[in-house]
Amino acid sequence: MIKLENVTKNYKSADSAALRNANIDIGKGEFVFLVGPSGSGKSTFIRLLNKEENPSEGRIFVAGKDIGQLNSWKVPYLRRNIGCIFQDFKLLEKKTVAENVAFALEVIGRPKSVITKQVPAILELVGLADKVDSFPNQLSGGEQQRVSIARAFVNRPLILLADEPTGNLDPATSVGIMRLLDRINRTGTTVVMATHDRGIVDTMRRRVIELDQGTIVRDQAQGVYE
Amino acid sequence: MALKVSYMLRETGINLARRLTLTIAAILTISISLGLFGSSLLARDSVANATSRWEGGIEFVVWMNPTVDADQDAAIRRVLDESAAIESWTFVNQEEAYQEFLELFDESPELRDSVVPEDLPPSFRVVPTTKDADVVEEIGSQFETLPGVRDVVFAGEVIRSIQEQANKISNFLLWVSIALLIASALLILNTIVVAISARRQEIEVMKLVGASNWFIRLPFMLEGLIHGLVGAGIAVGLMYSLKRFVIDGFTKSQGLRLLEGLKVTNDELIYRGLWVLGIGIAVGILGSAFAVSTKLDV
Repeated sequence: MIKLENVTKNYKSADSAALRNANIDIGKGEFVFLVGPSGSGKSTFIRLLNKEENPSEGRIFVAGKDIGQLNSWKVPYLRRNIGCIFQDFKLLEKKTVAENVAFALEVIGRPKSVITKQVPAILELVGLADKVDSFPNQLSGGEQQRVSIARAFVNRPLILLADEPTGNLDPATSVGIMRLLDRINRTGTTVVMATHDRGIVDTMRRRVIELDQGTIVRDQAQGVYE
Repeated sequence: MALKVSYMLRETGINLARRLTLTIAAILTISISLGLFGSSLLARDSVANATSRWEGGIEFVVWMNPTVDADQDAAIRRVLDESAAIESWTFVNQEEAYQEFLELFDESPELRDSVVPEDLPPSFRVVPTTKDADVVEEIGSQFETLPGVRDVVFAGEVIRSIQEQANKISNFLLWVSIALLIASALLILNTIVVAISARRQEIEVMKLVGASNWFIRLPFMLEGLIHGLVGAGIAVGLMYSLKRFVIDGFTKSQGLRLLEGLKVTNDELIYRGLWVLGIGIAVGILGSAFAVSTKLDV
């Protein structure tokens, strides 16, 4: 599903590479944790997969396609197959829960009939069926992250990228979010999650890729944080 | 597709409404600048209409009798050709004179219907080698006594002065309006930049979920287009008012004989109005396109 071949990413402003000669193969339906200290290259890894950044060297394949060869006008179509979740949720404050989720379908031109069917279904899945008309500032952090997951998953993407999704949440809420991501993973969606949360990684025992100063230092099946 | 169109219109409407004062400022600047631009064009047209007979350096016109015969006509042509003081001349036959008459009086059907080409005198329009009024009068007056000639009319200093002053005024208006048009384009650009900035988070989410580049760009482009179009629409209204209440007033004026010939036809108003609408649309699209291409990273 995801393949990195000798991928290096240099930023002009930085002295050393954010990612150095990375070679990774992630299969369909895998759940992968990216771990490592701040500045180790986890977010760069995620941004490269979503083509928010382009590699300085090497090639990245997503669903068998070399995304480096994609024309800029095709990038949105790549992103329709990739859901993204962030630490800061990135919800639109002036839209309700339902509108935030519907927005993801609306802006890719899905018909209204599809939107009215899929939005309640996904909100049911994330456990927010009773919050459809609430605004983000009326929700707890965990609920906001659930909205963010609903928005990322409503279009049934092949891949879900999560950059520190539990970073702003307390441990109990984080467990709920991880259960949800695990449930989504079980539908066949590949999940790549960057995290600092030792407890989650150690509990879930999934594949762990560890980065240190841009270099992959460990790739371990059913791994732990360190 | 229906959803996309309704989405575009809704988002554009929200953009316009959210920054109503900026929207009004942009539209008013465009309407004033395009109104001035259009007015300067209409002023040129009206002066050109009033002095059309005197364009291209023509200093006097030799009017013939409508019943002039071929020998008399040939005699005039011979004098014109042989005179060293005459640079060039053109002959306007009765049919051409009639066409000119129709253009000048296209809004007076009763007058048009009462005249046929045979009623109108043919004429020679003469460009002498000099513009010195005394010399021109001397050259022209030699035709007055020739057979078949009805009258010789001189452009005179007043006509030249009107043309020169009108050109100066319309050139000044043109430059002021061009400066204002640049200001309008910059104002649109800044309005769109503010719109993009205000919706930064929304745009970021749109990009993340895979909205196409044009889907993100179009509401902003549409906003610029609406600024240009509405501004140009108001400008066309101003131009119509100028024609209807000012220039048409000159035509009907009994006291201001000098201004009597100043007129703008409906065709000229429509033609210049289309110019103004086209420029308004272009300014709107260019301003917003520049903002979108430089500030919207999609």
